[in-house]
Amino acid sequence: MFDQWQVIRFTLLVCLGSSLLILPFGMGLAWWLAKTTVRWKSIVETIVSLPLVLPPVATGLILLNLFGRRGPLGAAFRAVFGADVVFTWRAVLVATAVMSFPLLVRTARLGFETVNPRLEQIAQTLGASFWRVIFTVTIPLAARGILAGFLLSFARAIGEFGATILVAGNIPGKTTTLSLAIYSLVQLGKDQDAYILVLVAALLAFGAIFLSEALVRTKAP
Amino acid sequence: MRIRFENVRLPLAHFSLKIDFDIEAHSIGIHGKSGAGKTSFLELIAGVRRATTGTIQLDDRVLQNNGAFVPPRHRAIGYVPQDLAIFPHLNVRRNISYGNTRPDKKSSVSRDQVIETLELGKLLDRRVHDLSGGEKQRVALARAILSGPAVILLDEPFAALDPQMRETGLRLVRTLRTQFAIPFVCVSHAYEDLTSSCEVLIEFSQGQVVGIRKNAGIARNAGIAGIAEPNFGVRRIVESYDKS
Amino acid sequence: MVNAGAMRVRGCLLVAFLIFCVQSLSAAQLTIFAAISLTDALTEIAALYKQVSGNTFQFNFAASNELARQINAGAAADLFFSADELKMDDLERQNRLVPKTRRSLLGNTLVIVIPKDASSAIASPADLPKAVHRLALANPDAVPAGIYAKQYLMKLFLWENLRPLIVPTENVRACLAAVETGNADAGIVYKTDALISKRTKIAYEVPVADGPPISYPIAVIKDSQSIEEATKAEDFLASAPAMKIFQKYGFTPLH
Repeated sequence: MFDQWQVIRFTLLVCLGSSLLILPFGMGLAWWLAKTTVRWKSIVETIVSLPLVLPPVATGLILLNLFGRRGPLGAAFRAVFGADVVFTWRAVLVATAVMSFPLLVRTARLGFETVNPRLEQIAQTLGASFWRVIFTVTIPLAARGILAGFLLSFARAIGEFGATILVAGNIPGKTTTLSLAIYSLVQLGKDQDAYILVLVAALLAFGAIFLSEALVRTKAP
Repeated sequence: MRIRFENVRLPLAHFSLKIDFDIEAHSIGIHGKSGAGKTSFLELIAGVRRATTGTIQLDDRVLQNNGAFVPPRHRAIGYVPQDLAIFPHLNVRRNISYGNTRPDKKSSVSRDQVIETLELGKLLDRRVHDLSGGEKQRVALARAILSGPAVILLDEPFAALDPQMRETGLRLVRTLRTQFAIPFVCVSHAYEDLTSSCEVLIEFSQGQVVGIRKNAGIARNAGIAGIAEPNFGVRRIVESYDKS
Repeated sequence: MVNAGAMRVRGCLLVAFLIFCVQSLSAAQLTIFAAISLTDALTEIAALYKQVSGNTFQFNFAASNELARQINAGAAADLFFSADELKMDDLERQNRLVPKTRRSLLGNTLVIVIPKDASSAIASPADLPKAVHRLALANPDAVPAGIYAKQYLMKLFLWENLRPLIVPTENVRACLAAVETGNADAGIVYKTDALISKRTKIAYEVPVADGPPISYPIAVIKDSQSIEEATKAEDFLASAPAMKIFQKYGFTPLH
């Protein structure tokens, strides 16, 4: 029905891609949330956290409406690139990116909050521009939190199911991810084959979370 | 160096800073009890804090003037805070070179001279958390000097040092004048440390300047253009400044 | 005096409550696991059945393979109404059925549907490979509607050409939805599904002679707690009043 290795390769590639894609945006938002004092900060925090608490299929439905052929973003994409988003690997990318974004932001934000603002001030007095301070002081000092966030979002992307199946479908060879493959195998009664994939998924998730926790736990020298 | 504070006000926890003076000197020492507002005063010059009202001028540049505010980046001021704020993620070499990218340097000191004078040669590749208190201080000072500032601000540079190190510390501060020719403002609660290094001495209490005097031992050329008497505003005294 | 009045009210309430309980006890609730294509017809029949017998149906509508899997895993069902014989065979092999209660009740036909506002370039299945970028089918590996469609397309030697264009869906109604939203250019569903859809139109109806034989069997599940009632319900579903409703929705009775 499908090639197990292809599924694993595809899942790893897409999840890596989506985690990298959201990294700059997640970092930017995390930095802003850590630094800003505007009163409506909590509204932004809530919106960003929505995919974390909404049922994944609910998020999937919203994405389906946005990125469907007749949806605002889907139609625009079609007009520019001549290709569909839904039912293609692009939809898998979108679904995993959206679902794992909140975890990236929350964890990276903690990283930014541990940066001593005195160090950033000193860097400014030494003549560093805004971006130089960000790249040479803020980000290096927040690196652990950022990396931990990246790993968590990667793990979440691997485990993503509800939104993906709605917006990308379960097309063997094209959009079937690890989670979707397990589901299909169970539907067909092929539980034994499913367990192999379950093991792979468990190993990946375990590895990512373990590393992430290790990074967050140990303090920088 | 000329520092002018006019009608500067900054509310703090227990009192407000109210500062007015106009001084030309190569080295200014600020003395007062802890909590008198000395650190906040330095932070106003550095641009790390912003006064609610008033004008702050350094040499011929206006740093703050009610609405206008020059950000720290453009003030060309080297600040060595009490907690040193050395970058923990960089080694010594990278720390002291950090200010290299300052847009318009106002002074230029040879890197080798700084490393030699401050005895940092053997420490260059060390990581910061391995250093002793005195070593860290020299790194912070070197970093400030090498950034090419117009002025250096030192906050309690002798506080954390044992008596042996204090002597070395004092010597280092003097080199700012004798070797590197960079004007500085030094804050300390220990009077003796200031009298041995600063031309002009200012007494701070409860956020206000309560006294200014020339340090007879050192100040030959300092000029005090104005003194603030508590609650009286600036009284201008014009004296000549001999730059020899 | 006040006490006596209150006692009388309480007494009446108690009696009324007991009568209600007894009534409820005699009214059975039967759980029917039914193919999702039967949703509308069975819902209407359920109302009729309640009038006639006082019993209610509780439905679990899904793809027949999903239902069979659930029953095999121990889900509590009284009746299973499948969209193909294969799933019923599977349950029979697993010894899940009450003997002699299995019978085939309905037939259906396949149609090709397209979005209502699409211009139809599809006059026959042979047009599909050229006219369509994406063809929605209920999962052709597992779901009856998809299996039927695949059989049909293989018979016409169109399957290999269409295979890369296929979007498999969870069940036949999801397939219909994909066409309704325009996310698929066309789909193959039962005629009965197309008839209830307001946002698609039929581009081609597969003639009965050409299409695969479609058969909906029903049976009573062995682990049912109300085998007698379930058997009576099955008889009702096979009866004339129920068949009339099935036909209204486009199903064909099998005898």
